[in-house]
Amino acid sequence: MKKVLIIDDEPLARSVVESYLKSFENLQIVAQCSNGFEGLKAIEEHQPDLVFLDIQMPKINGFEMLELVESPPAVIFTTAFDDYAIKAFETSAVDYLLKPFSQERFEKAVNKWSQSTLPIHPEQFSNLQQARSDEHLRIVVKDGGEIKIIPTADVLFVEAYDDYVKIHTEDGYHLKKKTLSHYEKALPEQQFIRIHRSYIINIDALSRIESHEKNSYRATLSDGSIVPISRTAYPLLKSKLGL
Amino acid sequence: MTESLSKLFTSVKFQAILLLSGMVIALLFHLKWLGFQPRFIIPDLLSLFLVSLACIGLLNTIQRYFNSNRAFNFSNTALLILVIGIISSSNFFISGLFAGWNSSYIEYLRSMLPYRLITLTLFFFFIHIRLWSTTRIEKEEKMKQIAIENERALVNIEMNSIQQQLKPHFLFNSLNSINALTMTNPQEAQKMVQLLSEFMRGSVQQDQNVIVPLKEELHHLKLYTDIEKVRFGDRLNVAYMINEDAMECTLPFLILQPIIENAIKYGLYGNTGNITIEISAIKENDLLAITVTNPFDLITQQTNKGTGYGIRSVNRKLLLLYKRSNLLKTSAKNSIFTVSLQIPQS
Repeated sequence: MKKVLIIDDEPLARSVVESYLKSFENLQIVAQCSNGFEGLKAIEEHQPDLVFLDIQMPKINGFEMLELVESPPAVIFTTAFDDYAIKAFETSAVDYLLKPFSQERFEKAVNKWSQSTLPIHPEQFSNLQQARSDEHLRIVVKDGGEIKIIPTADVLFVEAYDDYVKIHTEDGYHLKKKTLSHYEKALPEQQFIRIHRSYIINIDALSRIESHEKNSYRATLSDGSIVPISRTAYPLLKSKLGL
Repeated sequence: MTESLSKLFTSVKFQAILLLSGMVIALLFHLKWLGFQPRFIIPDLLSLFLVSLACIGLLNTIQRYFNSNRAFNFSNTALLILVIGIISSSNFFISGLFAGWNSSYIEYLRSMLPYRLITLTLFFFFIHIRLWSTTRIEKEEKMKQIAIENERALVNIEMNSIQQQLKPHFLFNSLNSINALTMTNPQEAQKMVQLLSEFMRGSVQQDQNVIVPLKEELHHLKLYTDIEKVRFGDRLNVAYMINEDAMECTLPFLILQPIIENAIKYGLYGNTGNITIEISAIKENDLLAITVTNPFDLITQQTNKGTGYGIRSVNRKLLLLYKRSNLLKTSAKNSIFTVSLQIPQS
């Protein structure tokens, strides 16, 4: 028996998946959730093998929820035509179903999942991977049990930290399992600049640049943090500031 | 063939060459006739030719930046007189210098001055008209191009608003709900198909600026909110609080639609629990006052793209129809977003 989870904010949309799943005897629905918060909890509790996930949902969308899961399960996205439909099917997405979808199409997606013996890699969708529509506006993080939405304007700087990044704000930092290059692409270019191998800063938070030892500079940010500026990034920063 | 020939004859360069060669022929004729040495004549001709050429360039540049509505306004005429003055005086000075101030050559130059002035004046007035009119035409064409582009942008906006009305997201999700209902509750599915059809028919048949009684607008709106209630189940409640007097008041058809859509979108996507959208309408003197409220979450609203498109379109429509920009007001207080509309009744 494999465990299945359905996450969609529309009850009827959940019932479509439920009805279609009846023909799969080896699949058991362990929970149905109406938003990302419930979904996250259910994933951690049930450790499902497969998740049917809607994208547009209250407060945090399906992608943002998935980012907060430590080891994401296999996912089949179910979504209506909208801005998200052909974007960013990255984290272990098996397939995506455009609403309304037929039973045949649904079964094809499930069979694709059950027949793939290897763990699904995000690379198969990498050609579809683009900066997502909301990611330049906000970053969703999880602190302990609490989910927080941080407007990107409130981000002071982002620091590489092993397999994670530290997202620094006025209220301290939040950890997120992402790469710095990911945020280099995702954050708005006119506001954020990578000034070092390990740092991206918010230009609006920059309060001072000073020389430090010979030929090297460092930046002071509005919260008092001091961040090194690499030799190659210094001219870029200068031109961005119009100096 | 004739086209390219006429193009050649009207080109500034061709006319300049033609006129300058006329001047050269005239001077050569004088040279032969009066018997001056070439060392006098050549600097004379060269300076005349080069300075004139420089002045044509100068006039061309000036026209490019200061193309006035009339060819001969004060500054243009003054400029031409200045140019002619510069050419003749510099020509006189250079020729005199190269001729070693030879008295008989100076005398010749002086006697020629009136003829030269007349020729130069005619020539430069002609050049000026050519330069002025060609830049004028270029400018007008550019303006036309800009007008065409603006027109195209407008059409795009229209198209966007039509697409906005078709709302693929709403349509596909509604179809998905119907798909679900066909399996679990065929009767409800049938009802939903009817609601959706009637709603779509109303949206498609609309004349952009038709004015309807509130009754009619609310009937159409109710179709929409009923569909949304089927989609979202218990999560969505819509409360209509309509004063009897207000029912016969008039308003532009579909003006409330984007506002309600917005309220539902931000109400449902800014909260995880159940929400209520309140729609109230009363008649106040010569105004129909409509208020729509929805619970909202500041951070979700701020960090969502496409915020406010619907509200802006309503504002634009009201401005176009009533020529007043203060008919729509929004406020956000205690996690409640309020849109207030005032529709003049005449």
